Amino acid sequence: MNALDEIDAEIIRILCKDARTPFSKIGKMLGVGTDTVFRRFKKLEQEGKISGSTVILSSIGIGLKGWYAFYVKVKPGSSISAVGEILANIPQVYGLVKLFGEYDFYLEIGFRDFKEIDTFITSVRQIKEIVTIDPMIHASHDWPLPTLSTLQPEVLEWLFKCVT
Amino acid sequence: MDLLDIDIIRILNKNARTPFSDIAKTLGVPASVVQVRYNKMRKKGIILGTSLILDPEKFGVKYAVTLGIKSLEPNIQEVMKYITSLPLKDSRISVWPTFGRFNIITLIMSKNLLEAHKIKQAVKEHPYVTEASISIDISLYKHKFEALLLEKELGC
Repeated sequence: MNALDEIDAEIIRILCKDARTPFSKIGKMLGVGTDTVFRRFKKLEQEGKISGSTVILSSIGIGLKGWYAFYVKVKPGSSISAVGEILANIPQVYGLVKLFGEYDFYLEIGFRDFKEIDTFITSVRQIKEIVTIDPMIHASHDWPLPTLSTLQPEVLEWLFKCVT
Repeated sequence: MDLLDIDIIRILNKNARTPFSDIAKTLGVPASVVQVRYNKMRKKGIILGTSLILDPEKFGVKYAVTLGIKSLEPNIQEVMKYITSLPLKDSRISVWPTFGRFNIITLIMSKNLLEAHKIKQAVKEHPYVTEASISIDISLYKHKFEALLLEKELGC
């Protein structure tokens, strides 16, 4: 693995806070040229460390009232990827993680009203391959979307730390 | 929020660095309009910000594990405290209380399988823990997937 130096780390830190920061501004902040920032950014992209950038939305801002998380177990012998595709196509599902172990999927749904929860339950009940669906976490406060891809600063520092 | 706002969010969701002038061209409106709409959505708190999507695997994270824990109901806080104070070198743990089959959910991200295993053992051996079930996250690439799915939330 290629080492991550302080300039790379600083570029990532700045862009994690605001992905739209112009490279020229980052260059000025770090005392390097715009072309250096551009080159470093491209390299981090090529290495796959940076896989993109996204906008962070407020769940309440876009009209969601709350969310639920579920663990899903699929019948042994059935196609897990086929079930994954069906789940991903249910409108309320905005996060889906493939698991290995006791459960096969972790999924998150957001809803605007109770009718949407009902629609979700109906959709899931039609999937014959699912043997268990365990509801886990529920919250109704505001939360940032997407939930799993935005990293807390503390986690970011930890990611940087062990790159050797 | 109208259709133009949603179109702007759609484009930024895929690439938050897209210049406003490019967005304007794609949508057939003046660049100044995109700027105004963006600022308005930030001010209203619809857009909280923009961020990079990183691939934890490329930073040496080898295991992402969820650990479902069933603890004796009156001792949940104590068990959670115990988990968050475990000595860690190459791992990070997030802990939430929950309902259902488990009453505590932990997410362990680790650069070291041995340490991840030790965490699980330590949790299992706690006197108030009656059950601990591990599931390995095999889609560390979920991040891209999620950004894609986000589009659905905006409807239309």
